[in-house]
Amino acid sequence: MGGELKTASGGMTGVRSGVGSELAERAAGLLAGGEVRMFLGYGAGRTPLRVRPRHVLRPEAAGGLVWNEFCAPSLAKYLLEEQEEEGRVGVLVKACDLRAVKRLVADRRVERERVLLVGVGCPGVVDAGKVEALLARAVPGEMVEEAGVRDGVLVVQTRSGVREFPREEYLLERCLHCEDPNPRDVDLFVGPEVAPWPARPHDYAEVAEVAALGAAERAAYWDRQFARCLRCFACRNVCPACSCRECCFDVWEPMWLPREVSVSEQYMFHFTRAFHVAGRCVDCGECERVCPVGIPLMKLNRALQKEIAELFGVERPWEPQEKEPLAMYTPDDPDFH
Amino acid sequence: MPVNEPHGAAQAAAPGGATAGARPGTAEWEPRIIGFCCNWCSYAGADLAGTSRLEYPPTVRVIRVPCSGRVNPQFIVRAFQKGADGVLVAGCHPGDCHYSTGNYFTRRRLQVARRFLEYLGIDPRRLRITWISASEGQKFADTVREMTEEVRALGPNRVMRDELWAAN
Repeated sequence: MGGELKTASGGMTGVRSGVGSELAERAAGLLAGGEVRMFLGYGAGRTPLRVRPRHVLRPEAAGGLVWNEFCAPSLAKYLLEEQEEEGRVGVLVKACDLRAVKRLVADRRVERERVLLVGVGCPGVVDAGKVEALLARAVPGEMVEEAGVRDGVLVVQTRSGVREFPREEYLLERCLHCEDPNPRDVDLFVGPEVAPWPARPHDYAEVAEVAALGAAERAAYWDRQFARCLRCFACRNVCPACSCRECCFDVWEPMWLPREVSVSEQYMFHFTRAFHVAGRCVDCGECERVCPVGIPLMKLNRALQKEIAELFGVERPWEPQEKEPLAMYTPDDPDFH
Repeated sequence: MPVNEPHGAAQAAAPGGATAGARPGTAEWEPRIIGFCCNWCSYAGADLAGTSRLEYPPTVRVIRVPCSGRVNPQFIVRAFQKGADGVLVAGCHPGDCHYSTGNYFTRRRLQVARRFLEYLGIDPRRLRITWISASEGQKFADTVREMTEEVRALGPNRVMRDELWAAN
């Protein structure tokens, strides 16, 4: 990537964003009818490339809800705190977010009956961080004024002109692997279904790349990655598989994770975080998306997925399994030699 | 040394053979192996090795655990952080667990953990998981001897080490 940004011809004409007001109407109806006490959706964010979670409590506030190609964050983890209050909560889910909700339900952290799942067909969401980085590299201090998608191309109006980004360049990595952009078994579906696109296979190419390095280079690679870690715990907080009431990183006795910031302790943190979700990771990629320093966390999660798939014959390790692969055994599991 | 210095740099800074004692690179250097042994089989196996006067290298520090299933993979990481060059996890043979199924779970979990540690840069020969019964004193001695040779050939571990042990 890098180099010149492409300038869009035709300015911003025909660039649309969102599926209209259907979602707001449905949410308002659910709230007015008392079916849910709250609706969790998206509201406008601080730039046109970003949205923020919006907790809607009153029907008249539903107008602030948006649904568009910038709705990357998963809202699943917000359901945890909502479980503490009585009543049912409506939540907008993309297909990938649905896997996250299923994870929380399977872990018995969220009661399925107390959630009203509102599904939406997703054309793939924008990796705002990636687009912002591309823009900033080309024009320092660039500001985004308007953004939307036209014929599968992201069109961004900035202070210096109108730019466009092809699909492969702006989509989140998880979207390129998406097999079905329409969530199934939801309670309600809003907007049109989205036609699937050719999904990249789960071939673990990025894992193989790291595994192909020599042992010393591999360690040096992870040293470099982990050295940037700020221990902000965003990866843990966003993860739908990381929902223990008491987290080993928070306890002081025993102190599993000393507060010292050293590469050695970063290994402890990242090994533990990845291993604790091994066999339960839903491959949503939220950890990597929220990482403020760009640690390739999915390369850890995917390595574990790959190992579990290979060792125990789990075909689709990113989907909630009937029995968690590491919480079961068979007498003829592969042995050590 | 700066806290965030990668182990490659630490390796370059390590005294190579000039210092006396058990420094890496000297003839006196011996690997440090942490051995997690289950109470019911492998610890008794180690005991038998001792009472049978079997000789094995004094490189292993045995930690008794109630079951190999007690060995949280974080223990293994911690051992490597705090200066272990190798980690041995020994439990009852599959099917013989005192708690019926503990070691079956261990086997699954540590298969994954071992490969994951390899992915993070730890040579898989540094982590050995093996089944030793209470009557296999000889196997315990052989395992420690073999592993010591293997880890000695690999040299001191550099990965994941905290500052104190980085150059050791």
